[in-house]
Amino acid sequence: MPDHYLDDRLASLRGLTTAPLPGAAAARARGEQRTHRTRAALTGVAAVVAVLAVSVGSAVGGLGGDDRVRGLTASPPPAPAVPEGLAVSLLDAQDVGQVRDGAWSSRSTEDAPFTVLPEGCSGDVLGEPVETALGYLDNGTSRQVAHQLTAWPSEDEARAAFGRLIDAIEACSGEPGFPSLLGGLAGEGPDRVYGEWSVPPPYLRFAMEVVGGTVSVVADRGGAFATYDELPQLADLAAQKVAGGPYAAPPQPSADDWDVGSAVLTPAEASTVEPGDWTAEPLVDGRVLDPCQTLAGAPSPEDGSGESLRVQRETGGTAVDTQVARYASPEEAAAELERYRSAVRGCPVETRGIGTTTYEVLTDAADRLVVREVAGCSGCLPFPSYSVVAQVDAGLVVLRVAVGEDGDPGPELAERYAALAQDRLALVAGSD
Amino acid sequence: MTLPDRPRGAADFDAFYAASCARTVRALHAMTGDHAEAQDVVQEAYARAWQRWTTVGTYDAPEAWVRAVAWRLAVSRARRAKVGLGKLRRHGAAPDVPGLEPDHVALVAALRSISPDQRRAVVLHHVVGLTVAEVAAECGVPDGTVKARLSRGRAALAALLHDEEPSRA
Repeated sequence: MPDHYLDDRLASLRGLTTAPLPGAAAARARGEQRTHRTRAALTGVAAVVAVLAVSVGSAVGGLGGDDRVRGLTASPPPAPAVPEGLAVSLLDAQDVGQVRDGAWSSRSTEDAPFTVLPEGCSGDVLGEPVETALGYLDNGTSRQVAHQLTAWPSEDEARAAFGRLIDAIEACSGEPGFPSLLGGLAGEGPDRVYGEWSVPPPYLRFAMEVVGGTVSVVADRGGAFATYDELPQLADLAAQKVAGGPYAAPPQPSADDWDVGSAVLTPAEASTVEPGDWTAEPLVDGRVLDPCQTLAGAPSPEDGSGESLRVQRETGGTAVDTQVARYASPEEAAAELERYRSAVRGCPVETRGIGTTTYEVLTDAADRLVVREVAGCSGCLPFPSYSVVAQVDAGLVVLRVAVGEDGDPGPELAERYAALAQDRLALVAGSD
Repeated sequence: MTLPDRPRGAADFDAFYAASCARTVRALHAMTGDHAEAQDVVQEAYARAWQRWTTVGTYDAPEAWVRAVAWRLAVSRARRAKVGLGKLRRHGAAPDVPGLEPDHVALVAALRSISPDQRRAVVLHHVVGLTVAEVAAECGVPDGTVKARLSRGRAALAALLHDEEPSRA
């Protein structure tokens, strides 16, 4: 086959068709989910990601209107046609209709005339919730209801956000440019507060509450004769709805479900062993940590849900390749360590040109193996590298410590990096 | 109080994503032979890039970083599938894959038949358009190794596609 023909055919793959791709906001949301370690059901992740893409990625802008009371979200996301994720827990027309007369209907958040809390009052205290949702309803009169939800990775974090909001609201009440809280915030138990802003009629009252891992804020904006009695009922309805929804009790990260990516040695940690400009990049070859990689057909450790990273000094010197794997049980991890140990013992000495690859086991403990490898090569100086495999409960951390132009650092340096990596794994895996 | 419209750095990330995602999916599709898998590992790689954007965003070639991570994920999953460890992580139903042209179907199938190292080198050089030096840098191997993989990979592909070569007068 002529070369140019193959070239042309391969180049044509640049036009490979792809299915529609998620937007960048979805990728960011997925990254934030990993960070928060939320254990969503695998089949539900797509829905969560989709909702996050709508609510987290929304643009901020003023809501307009003539009401001086602005909101937690200046330009909330558009109301989805079918609620998903946190939005399923928002009050809807049927809910409000249980408390108030009239034909209630949901309004687009883009058309909403008011939001919940004063713009600028809370500053940046909200932080970074996992998800937000906002809904508006009215009955064609001056009576309007808003419900805003923010979801947090845990109930503790929701309570912390609740506390920050209370502090911020009380701090700005009555300050120039802000309305005053009439009578301050009235508490109802540790999880709910009520407030009423002194704005020109219609007045705005709100109830703010911690429900599971969410902060729920219901705002009630009424006519001159709006009563206060219905707000607690609306807040109760909202709490019931949130409690029955997907974010009522966010799952707590389990010690059995730790993120392998968090267990990989970081540049900052490596610099505690050898100061310098460390950089980190993903390993490009998953088999790099196989002590017998130079030999075709040699077994390599099989990882469970592995993550790899190379940490190396930018100005030359030591490169530390790290791979972390999480297994179903400590017994499985121990079995993998034993398999690795057998592989090392079975690595034959290979002769290439004028060089000979040798493998020497330096440390052979129950939970740790350190191997010194000196690769032979033709016409070059052999640089030793050290492979370390260490077990911490159901995790295995595999290191390869290779020194650039510095020659042989000796096994002590490898042991120090190994100890560091084991400590990090123990920290992440929640081991004592 | 107002929420920020997007987290700090998101504008740069979004622009990077928009400019590179489709291209990265194509490359991983060619490397893995599985469109759904390619989409999944690429999305996961971008998610990880976002987690580390303060660092990755400063790299000369963040796209290479994403591509390398996606490849690493694909390799890792293939290994797990092979030994039956763990469960494949599928984030919802795979999207409908648009029909591939017959020539592309044959090419992707042929690529799957050569070794992963050769396949990756061939895709990076011929599909992504990297130079030999750039392929070597991304794969972490010497230039000579890349040349050898390209040579052997092309020879293997030529043999596999021989029957489909159009007749020439």
